[in-house]
Amino acid sequence: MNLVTSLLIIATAMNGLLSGLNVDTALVKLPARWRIGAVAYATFARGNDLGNGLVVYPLLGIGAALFTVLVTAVAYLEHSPMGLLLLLSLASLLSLLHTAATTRAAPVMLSIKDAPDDEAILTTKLDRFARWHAVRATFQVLTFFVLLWALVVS
Amino acid sequence: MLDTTVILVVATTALSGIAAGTSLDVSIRQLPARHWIGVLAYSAYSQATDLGTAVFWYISVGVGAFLFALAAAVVALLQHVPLAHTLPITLFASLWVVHLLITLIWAVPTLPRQRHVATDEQQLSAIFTRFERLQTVRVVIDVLIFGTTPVGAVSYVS
Repeated sequence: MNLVTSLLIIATAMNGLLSGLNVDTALVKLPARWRIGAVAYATFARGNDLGNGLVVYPLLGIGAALFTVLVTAVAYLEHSPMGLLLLLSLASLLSLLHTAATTRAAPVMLSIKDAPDDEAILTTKLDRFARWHAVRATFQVLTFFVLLWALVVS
Repeated sequence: MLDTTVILVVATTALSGIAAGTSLDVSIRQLPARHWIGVLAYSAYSQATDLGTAVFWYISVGVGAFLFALAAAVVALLQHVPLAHTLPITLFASLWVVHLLITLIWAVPTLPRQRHVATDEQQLSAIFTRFERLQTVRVVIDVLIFGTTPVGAVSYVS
């Protein structure tokens, strides 16, 4: 197993885990606010996203993006086949788009920490977070799938 | 070489990755949140998700990954794939069977008990502590499966 394949496995694994985290938040956690209300959901988010989430998400998010870009750079340096280079370049682009969407989503979630327990204010904030989260989750899942494809052709 | 086994292994890897990430999220972010916000607030959230959309989503991912893993193992055996390549495929299929049994026998019946204890903090704590223990076993299996599937894919393709 060469360096590119080893790095590709690590990048795929990290992006897979991050995809699971993102999809779970988009499909399971965030819709819960419609059942329990924005105030109750914000209370949960303060323990979840603003609890251990403050460590877990940045670690996995930055790590996944770094390994994706790293494996792409190494593949270029080692003159890997064009098909693999194209897939890795696409994965890097998607990973950067995920990071860009996160820079829009994260401040909204962070602002919930000190926001008053007001249903209208929190509803606006959570809806805005949900929109940006849907964007980044889409980019993240696409990154994972493209890396899996790259793993097959590598 | 892109044959049926490769497609099935890749599909299993995709679903296993999503499942492992979801499981990690439950163990590392969601369940510990009850220590910050209290079990009553956590129970309100838990009942809205674990007994709501989560049922459909977790069943879809879990059963989907299990079926793909099983199909990959069966097809690999039928195609007389060399033992070195079938081992990881058989391993992750077996781990999915163990995961599914733990989930169905112990984990699934645990959370609905919240409905019967309403606002009793002690009983709610006991329910979440029990679920957390089961979830720890499941997350270890999930990560093992996801760790095995890319190896299975690479060893088979190369």
